[in-house]
Amino acid sequence: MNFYRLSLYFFVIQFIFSIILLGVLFLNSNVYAMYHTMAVSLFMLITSIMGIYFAWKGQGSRVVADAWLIISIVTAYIAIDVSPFFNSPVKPLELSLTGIVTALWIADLYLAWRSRLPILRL
Amino acid sequence: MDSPTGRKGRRFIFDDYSLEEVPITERYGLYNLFLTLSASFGAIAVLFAGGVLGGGLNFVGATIAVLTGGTTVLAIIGALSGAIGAYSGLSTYVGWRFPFGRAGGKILGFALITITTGIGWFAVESWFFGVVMNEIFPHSPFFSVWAAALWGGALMILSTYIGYRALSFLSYFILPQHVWLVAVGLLLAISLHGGWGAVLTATPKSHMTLAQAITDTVGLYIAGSLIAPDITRFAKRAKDAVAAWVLHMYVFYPFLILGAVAIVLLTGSVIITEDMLRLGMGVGVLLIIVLGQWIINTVNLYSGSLSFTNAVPMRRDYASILVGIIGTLLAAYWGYTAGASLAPFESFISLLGSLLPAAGGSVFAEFYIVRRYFDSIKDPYQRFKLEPGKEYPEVNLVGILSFAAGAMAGFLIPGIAAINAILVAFVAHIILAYIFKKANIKYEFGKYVYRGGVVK
Repeated sequence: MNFYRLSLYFFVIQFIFSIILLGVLFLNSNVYAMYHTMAVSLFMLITSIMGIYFAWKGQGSRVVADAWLIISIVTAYIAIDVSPFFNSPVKPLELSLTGIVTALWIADLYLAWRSRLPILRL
Repeated sequence: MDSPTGRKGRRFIFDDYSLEEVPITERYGLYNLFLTLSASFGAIAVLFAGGVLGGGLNFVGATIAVLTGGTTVLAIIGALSGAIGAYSGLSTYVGWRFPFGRAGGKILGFALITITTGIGWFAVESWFFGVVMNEIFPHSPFFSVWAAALWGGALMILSTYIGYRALSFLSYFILPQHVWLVAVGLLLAISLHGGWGAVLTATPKSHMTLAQAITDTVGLYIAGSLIAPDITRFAKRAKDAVAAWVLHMYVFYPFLILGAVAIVLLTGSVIITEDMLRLGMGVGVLLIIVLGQWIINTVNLYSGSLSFTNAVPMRRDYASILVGIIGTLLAAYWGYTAGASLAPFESFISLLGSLLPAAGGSVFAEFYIVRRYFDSIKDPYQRFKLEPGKEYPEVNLVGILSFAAGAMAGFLIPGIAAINAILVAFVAHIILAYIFKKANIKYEFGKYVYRGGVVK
């Protein structure tokens, strides 16, 4: 499948996930976990909107840069979120969604590499 | 075509143009440079330095020290140095062939970078990596200090073997992560320990003068500023290199160092990672330590391998393995003997490293004054250009003498040693070059023909 079309789908999935995370914000049992979730869901929302535009316009290097940024930040989020400090009822959902997003963008970078897009030349 | 910029097909994909100009087709833009410079020279070392500052100064004092002293001075020095790398496309040490001659550049590069950064600090960081791993997983033999130092060192050698591509890769991944983790740590510390007002009113546990703080912030980063051409030679344009350096000095560096100061002031311990663990950041702290040390040691070894290749002509990727193995074995030995003989060795490499600013002063004088005004080379791309088949000197006496003057000034004149050394070497180089040229005294000795930087 076309790399840009696939990236577009991935960004739409991320957009939906970020909306879901924003929707479950109030279920967090402590304020720190809530702010942390809010930060990552807003980050995912903004980068998905940017990504939809880049993929729509066929701007490969910007899609790749966006993918790197998302992987980096989302894994940092996951690394902190697994600590007991952020315990909350929605944690399993948050970790699942952000884990899927990370996997999606690793796969996308692999596809970009297979499509001969320079994934290390930003 | 034989010219480095026009050659089709590379001989060794991982040599990274160690002894020649980086072709324009292999260079990168502002975003790449910004990420790579920030992640390479910043990261964990800046966090720990922030911890030390927070132990001796209040937040306002630390802000003054970082913004007025450290950042501005380092932004200027790094921008001057980075521009030279982008214009010439040469590594720091190959560039040193102009102010010091080929032999002078080889000896200085080997003594000031291969031994200190490539072997010394690489070994110390690998050992420290082993210590941290052992603290986190104390009961596993795989994470004993010497074992973790060995496999950690091997991992760092692998990324250095690949070269700039690996550095870019690590930077894209590590830098945003560090920013996120420090931001979360900062916000947690502020919200758990009395708000932003508490940061401004918190008093440090011990005392440090403002001058000492400025000296420390400059000293922490001065080596990185002077060897910036190792990275900026991959810049498409000089203004990209300068913008990337200045931007990272005014945005990334103050954020990390002042973030660490605030966290330390609020939580109490000067070891920033301990504070972040206490704040409940768990695996996030492990990420900071492991990835931060990985990239900083990759840069240590990368510069070490470049300077070694300049001294002993061999492929840079092979040099990284050779130098890296020496450093890793040293780290494993310290781990096995519980840190024996580490302190004197650290003093030795710190002493050698303190000579580096003097070399920087000579390089600035040669590039920006002597070649521009005395030799009338207006085009900055031509000032440090090595052309295949052309003769160049083995020794440049002006550079050697000014380096010696700068090094002595660094030790003898009170104030910020690194800045004194740079300024004295800079002025001495200009005066000596002017006198030698006016009096028609020969100051360049020996000749060699540059063969294009091809290492077989």
